[in-house]
Amino acid sequence: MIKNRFQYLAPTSVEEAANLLAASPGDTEVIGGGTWVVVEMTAGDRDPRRVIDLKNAGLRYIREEKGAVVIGARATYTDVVRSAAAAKLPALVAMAAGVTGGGQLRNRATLGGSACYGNPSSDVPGLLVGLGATLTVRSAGGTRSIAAADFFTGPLRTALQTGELLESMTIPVPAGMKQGYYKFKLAESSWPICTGTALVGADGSATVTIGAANCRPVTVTGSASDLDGLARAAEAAITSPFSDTLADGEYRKQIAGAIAKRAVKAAV
Amino acid sequence: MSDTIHIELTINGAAKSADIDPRLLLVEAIRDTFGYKGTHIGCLTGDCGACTIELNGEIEKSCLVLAASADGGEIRTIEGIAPDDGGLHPVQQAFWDEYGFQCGYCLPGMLFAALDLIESNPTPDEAQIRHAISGNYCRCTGYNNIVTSIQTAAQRMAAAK
Ligand SMILES: Cc1cc2nc3c(=O)[nH]c(=O)nc-3n(C[C@@H](O)[C@@H](O)[C@H](O)COP(=O)(O)OP(=O)(O)OC[C@H]3O[C@@H](n4cnc5c(N)ncnc54)[C@H](O)[C@@H]3O)c2cc1C
Ligand code: FES
Ligand code: FES
Repeated sequence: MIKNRFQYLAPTSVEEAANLLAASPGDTEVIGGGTWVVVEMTAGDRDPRRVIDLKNAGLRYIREEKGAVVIGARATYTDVVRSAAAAKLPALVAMAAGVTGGGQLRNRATLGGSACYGNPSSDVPGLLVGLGATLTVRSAGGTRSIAAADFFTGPLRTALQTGELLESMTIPVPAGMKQGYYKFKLAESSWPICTGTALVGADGSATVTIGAANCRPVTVTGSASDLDGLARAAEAAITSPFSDTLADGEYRKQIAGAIAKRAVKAAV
Repeated sequence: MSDTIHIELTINGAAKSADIDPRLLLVEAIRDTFGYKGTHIGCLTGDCGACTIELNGEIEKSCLVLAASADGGEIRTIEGIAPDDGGLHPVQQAFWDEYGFQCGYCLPGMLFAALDLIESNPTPDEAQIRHAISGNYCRCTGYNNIVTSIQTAAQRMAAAK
């Protein structure tokens, strides 16, 4: 059992959730799926006085809107894999299907939770940056939009400010471009060591975002017909390599080029 | 600070309710409040799968969920896999026949992952089976017999259709 007492709240709308958060943001934890925050509370690494569970807040949806796919913060990886709207984004679906921890994990863990967690060695940050997503965050005062490239500011850091929660992620469907997602890991059950999200235009222009290798995702552009050039650019873009128990940052930097090539080849 | 929360659940078809401490994990409620000890605790980090249950039709790791979050839910535990007639489910029978377990600690995760896989894919190949059980640790078998068990279960279930 979690050590210290807290009040459990399950608001029934996102506005109510934001108001509850505003009341006492410093000692409150938000639960999306809980696959990270509940573990940290059990281990005693987080010690909130209040917990806001978003399960009833109406944020579990995936829908198509004006040429984009809008993903509610509570949508799970499994929701993405099953969604007809998300099928327009094969890179997103490939990412969601490849998250480890088994079906048990994908059935509960949310994309929004992963985004707010902001762990560099995750799938979601690089994917959101790579597909040019915009995140909508809400506070008691209303909503604001943040480009994914600005949202992930460093290891376990995001542009979310005190009193803000994530409401949704909007990913434009890249018209006329092929998308690819490639994840490198060394064991079946491992979190990613390096990821590549590629967009390839009909003219061969390629944009690749490398995730999990740098403290924040990095994006490079080039040509699908010059993969070696793209690879060199990707490696050079890793200016603050990220190290954790899975892999050293220098190793991640060294493989970033190869992963960029594979992401372009994965684009279908 | 409110001390308890009232929750109502269905576990293996039986209606259950309790006033619980919000700090209680779902796995603790299932085991200690409601007495279904077949659901195991291995890690409390979401890695091992020994706490796997089915919640509202989806397999989940019950150490990652506050009991309060599951209020109103329909739960199936490992005790609810076998049919009422006292026999074994075909997946359990296959694990028995193929030596798919030794101590059995990992079985909640292995059996539910197998059931989940065969439901969506009645003829899984080895790679698909290994991917499906990748959220579970087994410290006894070395996994090969588990893969064989799931292959056997799928074949028998397909043949019985
Ligand atoms: C066994 C296992 C395997 C895993 N494998 C992978 C993997 O392969 N790839 C990978 O990328 N990740 C992996 N993960 C990490 C996994 O926890 C995240 O990917 C998951 O998506 C987090 O989502 P959640 O909803 O459970 O987050 P939560 O635990 O609910 O929340 C995470 C953080 O975000 C905050 N938060 C959640 N939602 C909101 C919101 N709407 N607004 C504001 N703050 C919010 C919480 O307060 C917390 O700080 C794995 C985890 C486990 C346990
Ligand atoms: S006890 Fe839940 S996954 Fe190990
Ligand atoms: S049989 Fe002992 S852990 Fe799997």
